[in-house]
Amino acid sequence: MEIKEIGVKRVNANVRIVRTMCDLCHCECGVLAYVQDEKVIKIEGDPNCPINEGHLCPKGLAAIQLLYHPDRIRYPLKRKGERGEGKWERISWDEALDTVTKKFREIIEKYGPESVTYSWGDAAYRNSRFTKDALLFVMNAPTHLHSDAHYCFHPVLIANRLTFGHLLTSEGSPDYRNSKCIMVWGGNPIMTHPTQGREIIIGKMNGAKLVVIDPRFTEIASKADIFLQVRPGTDDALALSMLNVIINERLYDQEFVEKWCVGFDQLKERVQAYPPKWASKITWLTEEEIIQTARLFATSKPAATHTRMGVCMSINTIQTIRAISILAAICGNLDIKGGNLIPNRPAGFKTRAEIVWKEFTLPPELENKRIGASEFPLLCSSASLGGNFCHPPSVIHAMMTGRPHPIKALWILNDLLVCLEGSKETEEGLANVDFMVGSDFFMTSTMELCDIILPPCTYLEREEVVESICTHNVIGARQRVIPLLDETRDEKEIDLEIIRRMGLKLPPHLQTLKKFYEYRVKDMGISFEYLKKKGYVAGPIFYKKYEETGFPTPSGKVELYSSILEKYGYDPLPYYQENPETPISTPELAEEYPFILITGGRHIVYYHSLGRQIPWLREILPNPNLEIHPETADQLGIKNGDWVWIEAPRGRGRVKMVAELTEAVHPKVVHAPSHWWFPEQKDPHHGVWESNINALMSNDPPYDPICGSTPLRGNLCKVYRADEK
Amino acid sequence: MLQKVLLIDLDNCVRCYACELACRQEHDLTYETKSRWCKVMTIEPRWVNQELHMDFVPVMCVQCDDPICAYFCPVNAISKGEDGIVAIDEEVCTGCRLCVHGCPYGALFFNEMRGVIGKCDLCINRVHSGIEPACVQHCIGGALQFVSHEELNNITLGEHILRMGMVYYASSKWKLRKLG
Repeated sequence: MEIKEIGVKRVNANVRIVRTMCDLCHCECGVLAYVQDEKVIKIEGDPNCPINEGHLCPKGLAAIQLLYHPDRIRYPLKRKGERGEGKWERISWDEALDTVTKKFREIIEKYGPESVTYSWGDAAYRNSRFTKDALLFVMNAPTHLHSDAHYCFHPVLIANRLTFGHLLTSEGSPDYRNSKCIMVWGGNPIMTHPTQGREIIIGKMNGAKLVVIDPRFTEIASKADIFLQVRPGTDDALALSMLNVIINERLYDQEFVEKWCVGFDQLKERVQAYPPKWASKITWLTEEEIIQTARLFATSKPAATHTRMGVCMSINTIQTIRAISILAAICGNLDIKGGNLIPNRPAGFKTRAEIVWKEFTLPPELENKRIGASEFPLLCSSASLGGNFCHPPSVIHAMMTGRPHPIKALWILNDLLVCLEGSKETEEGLANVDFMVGSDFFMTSTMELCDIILPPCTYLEREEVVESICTHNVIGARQRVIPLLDETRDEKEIDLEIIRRMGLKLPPHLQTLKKFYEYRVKDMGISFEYLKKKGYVAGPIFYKKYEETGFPTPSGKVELYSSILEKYGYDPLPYYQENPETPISTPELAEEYPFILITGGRHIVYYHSLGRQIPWLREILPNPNLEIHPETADQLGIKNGDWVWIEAPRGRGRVKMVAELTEAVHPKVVHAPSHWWFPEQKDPHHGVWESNINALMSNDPPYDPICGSTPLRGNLCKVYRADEK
Repeated sequence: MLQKVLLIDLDNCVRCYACELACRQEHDLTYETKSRWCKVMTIEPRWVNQELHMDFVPVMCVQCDDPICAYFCPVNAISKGEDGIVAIDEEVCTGCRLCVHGCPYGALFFNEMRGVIGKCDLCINRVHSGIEPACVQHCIGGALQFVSHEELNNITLGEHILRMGMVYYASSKWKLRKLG
């Protein structure tokens, strides 16, 4: 594929164009970077990339302002004053790496390998998951702190694998473009996964009906044919009652169910307890809305189903996703054109999951030392279906209490204080960790707590093989656009260097990044150089692959009745469970704290904690806006643009946000965005305690019994003007 | 002579802000310039016939047929070219800002860094090289299209709801309903 002569005529002859892939969210869109005098002057979408076909979101378009941001950390730093005092001095890479190596080695010798870990969020996960896993693997360290392991993507992975053996309802899998009915449950893909949002709009243009289920009237909801404004945290009730309608009206795909599903009779019996009339009281929807949606979904074929974060943050996460997965299954939408596809990565390509699960798996006795392994075996133990991680709240508790074992050394690659619920507990826990090394583009409140900081490079300064989560069949190459700025380094190189300095050895095919990239594509019969030249490779799409291979579940079929859940003593069938802090569960509390607080709705200009320092992005969304219904605001004397306090019960405290009066939320519901901090504040807290909604969230039980998720979308709160006491 | 116009399909605008950012990068409109040539406006959520609606409207200079801003300019820096694009000659512009106040759409901006007036010129350099404007290329929902008059009529069947200069707004959503 030649780079299309986009814009070449407009720029002078000194400009070269490099094709690479963005790394600022899961989509990993193809981009063209314009380079003049070794400086990136423009970034555009690549019209030849099958993932984004030329478009690009604001984050991607503003990447230059990230790359050249004056506040970027460009040299290794060492703490000068007390922890969190904000005093730093520049040191050499040698000194930094020697310190990290020495400290890690000492702590492993003294407390065992289970006492060291990483903490990463999403960006580091995509960039350096392999080398971080490799480092932990060679150190025999079982503890992986992936801060969103208990919600977000991993519960979907667990619930889908329990049901189908494959990941099917997450981004990348639903075939929107060819669908007749698209059901987006608890998400706003336009904001979170722009390429997926685009696919949905294309599907709609092709004639699909769009169903959006969300407590907020979002961008994608505004395009929906049916919008169900469900009460926060009652998605399980809605899904079960839709199953009730579809099963009792015999609208399901009887042939598929008979041939490919197990446990249908038990499911049928179970859903009798959940008729639409019952669900309408629970969910605030009308009976007709539920029945109509169920009928539309079941009678439109093919239909594509997408589950997002909204259904992943309750204490009934896994069973909720299972109920929705079962809707997709019994209506016969699995691995058909326009339904939910089993991934079609190019034959021979070594996927992320394959490598991590096959190459870096420790013996079970070590794996089961992972924090959370006994409480949440399907998330954390050697039998994990969710990806070799610990249970994050339990890790924070381990830091605070030393049980089941202490965490003594930590390598932080994300902004834990804004990204993980229970920010105050997190801060307390981190204070107990003996040695912390951090890697981040910017000085965040979390980085300020570290002892050593290593400067990572951005995606424009490194190369690698890319496996975009938002497509099921495309791989590509990220290319180095410009040399590393100052003393920044690719995080993967840092990991390999630490392994070398510790005197540990990786298997030969993983010893250098180059070898590793070759290893990933070798069995496709191509080289990494070839992939770089070609840009992207799309695998051919096959349908109904299960007819040859079956489903990778214990029975080889879709398990409506899950044999794995039964084996582990969980309920094998989905059920309804009210969240612990709602007007129904805790009516006395609701008298003083009358509103249901949902948190964490995303905006396209920010990616988790990243982006608030980028002028182009910040200008679009300068403040944390609390969405509140105009009637509610009126009763509270709140006007649009007023600063208001949001206070949580049980002494969890309060944070401040700007009231945005909107009918997008129910009068009894308010929505607060997450991840807010203020990089423009230069003190070591960087405003982390002002508007960070995660500070109001608890990381204590109750959890989802299977994946350990916490109820972050549907707690109680009260709201009042910030000038009131 | 440029044969193409900007079609904005309101049904497909998803408020992704890609057009705004693409514009600012293409024309080097940093924050300090205080220039937002392209903006996405929101018609906030409201109930219409028992349904909740929210709409988004990208706005920019519409390249008026008879540009009012040009009448305001005391030095004749603004002119409408044969391609239909209303362009500002930066060499001539003195930055007096009379045109900014004259524009009924608020589409002109004083560039605080460069001291001259700027506005959407449909990416004149791109379109003269046969490349669509930056906002059109990056539009995630496909709401912005750069089309010939013939294509425009094939897409809207002549039923676009609004034309202002070279910008045509269309929506099928609102036509399907009989109000009142």
